[in-house]
Amino acid sequence: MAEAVKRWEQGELALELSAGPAEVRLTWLGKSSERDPTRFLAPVLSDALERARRAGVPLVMDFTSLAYMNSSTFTPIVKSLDESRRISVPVVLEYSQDRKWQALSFSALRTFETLDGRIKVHGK
Amino acid sequence: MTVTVKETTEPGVHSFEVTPDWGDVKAAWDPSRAALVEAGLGPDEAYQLAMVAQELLENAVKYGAFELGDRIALDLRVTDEEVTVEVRSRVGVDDGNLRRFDQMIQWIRGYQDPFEAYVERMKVVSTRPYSDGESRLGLTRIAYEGRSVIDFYVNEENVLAVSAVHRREAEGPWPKP
Repeated sequence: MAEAVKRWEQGELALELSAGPAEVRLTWLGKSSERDPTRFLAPVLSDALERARRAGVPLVMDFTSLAYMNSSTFTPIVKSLDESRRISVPVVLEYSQDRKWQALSFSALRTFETLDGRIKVHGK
Repeated sequence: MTVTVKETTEPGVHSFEVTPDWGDVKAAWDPSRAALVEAGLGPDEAYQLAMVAQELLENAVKYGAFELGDRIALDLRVTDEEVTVEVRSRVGVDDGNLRRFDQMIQWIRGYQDPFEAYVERMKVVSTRPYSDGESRLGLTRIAYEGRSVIDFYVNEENVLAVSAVHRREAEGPWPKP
């Protein structure tokens, strides 16, 4: 059973971190439309990755409930994938196939998937 | 916050004025999406083109050179064949941002498939440090996710007009990823 650990909020965006025996899950809620989302998101994503590393489990970033994100939001996400490689933490990006914008946005992020499954982009 | 709906007699045209403020750009989402739905677009098409409007408005605020009282103009023109999203805003004289914008447009045009440009741009972003500043992913996102062709001109008053033209019928439905 996953346990809620922490919640961050900025503007219309909230991120909820929960931890279970098999994963650390970061759930994105609301809208990410700040001018410089990296300032808020980079430390949050680093924290989530570090918790997953310490627990020895994958980090699952759940975007399925996210209503919108601007293009500036891709930067911290893509950079966190880079960091996950560096510290050897598997990452799964989960998106909603029912939300057309997510299907389009995350189809491009598939370019970062790795053959060994360390980075997965998964439509639900 | 101020997003003003401009009266227009031209059928299929919705015009707005937005103060060059980040909060106002965000506030333009709901009225622009509602206008696109009212013009007869389906929910996915309206969402994607509201995203196009947002990205162009964000660029206008980021790279504009505004004088007191300046507004950003947003026009949404919907016909059976195409949807045009046009954003007009003041830019600086001999503006370096404008040159980089032009280079980015030309770079995107160099790709036959905008998806490739989008992916390439994401790869560039992944290899650069945060401190490098703007990602300029927005334009490739407009080209791919918005299925739009981007063009622009600058008039003698240094107003930059950027248009994204989305062909409704010719390109068919968005592809399944």
